[in-house]
Amino acid sequence: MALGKATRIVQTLLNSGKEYICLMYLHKPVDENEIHRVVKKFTGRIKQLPPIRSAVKRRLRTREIYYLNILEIDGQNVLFKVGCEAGTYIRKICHDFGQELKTGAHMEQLIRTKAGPFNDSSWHSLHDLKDAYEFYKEGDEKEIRKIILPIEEAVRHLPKIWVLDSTVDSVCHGAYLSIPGISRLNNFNENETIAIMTLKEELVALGTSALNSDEMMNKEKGLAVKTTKVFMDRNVYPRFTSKK
Amino acid sequence: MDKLLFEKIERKIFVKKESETDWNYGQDPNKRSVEELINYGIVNLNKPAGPTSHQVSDYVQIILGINKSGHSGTLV
Repeated sequence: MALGKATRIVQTLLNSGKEYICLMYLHKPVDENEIHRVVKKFTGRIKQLPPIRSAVKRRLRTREIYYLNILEIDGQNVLFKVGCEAGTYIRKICHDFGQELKTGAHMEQLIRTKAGPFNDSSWHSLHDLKDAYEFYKEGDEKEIRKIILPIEEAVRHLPKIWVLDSTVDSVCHGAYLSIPGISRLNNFNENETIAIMTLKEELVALGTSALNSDEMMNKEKGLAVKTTKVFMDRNVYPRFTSKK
Repeated sequence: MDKLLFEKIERKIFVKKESETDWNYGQDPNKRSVEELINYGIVNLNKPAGPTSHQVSDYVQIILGINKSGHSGTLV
């Protein structure tokens, strides 16, 4: 969950890969070997029609399933872990799995265990948050610092470009990043979502790469990133004045 | 080990132009005050079964005394 000014970052999490643990219920008993055989049909690129009640247009779309592992089979209950591209409907995977087995199946329970850079090893309950906030009110901020993280944690999975101090403010004003403003960069492709960072590791903005990282290393000028969402306030860094 | 797409990518860092940063401006994200984090931070929350994401978002706002929070949705 993102707080205050950080809320606009959630879109990047929506667009990133997810992992779920799902309990699927088969409508008739099925041989285990048959289940394992069908699993193979649900890994790699799959075609999926979004469910009737869904937020998107109902037309066949392709989604990548990075892995689908059966954790346990107990009678008609099948517990599995699935890593998938954003926008994959697990409820639909269960339904289609049932169709493939010719028995029918539905999703019984679902837990998301990864969303972008976040996973179940570092999650907290509402109670943890409430307790930590009380401690903080009493003067002890150790716990709340473990729970509320800087926004930069939400872009850990994105490729980054670190820009010069003198370039930061223009990006804060919504300007596109051009090559001379770059200090360091990760490897990435053209048309990827890039996190524009300061040399102090602060998030400045998100944008879309106009070139790949090799081209940015080799060129001396030109457009590098089309800024799409600015997070840092204006005037945190000094405004660059060109020397004439 | 099972990995999502971005977890398989090895991120290298290339230096285009060596530069120092001036500590008179901005700050290390880890040095932000709790107050700043509450208005500009992230909580990795294990949503309880039952209430909707919107309701949980409301609880968080009540607990922290803020009026804006957002969640990355639940896609099933």
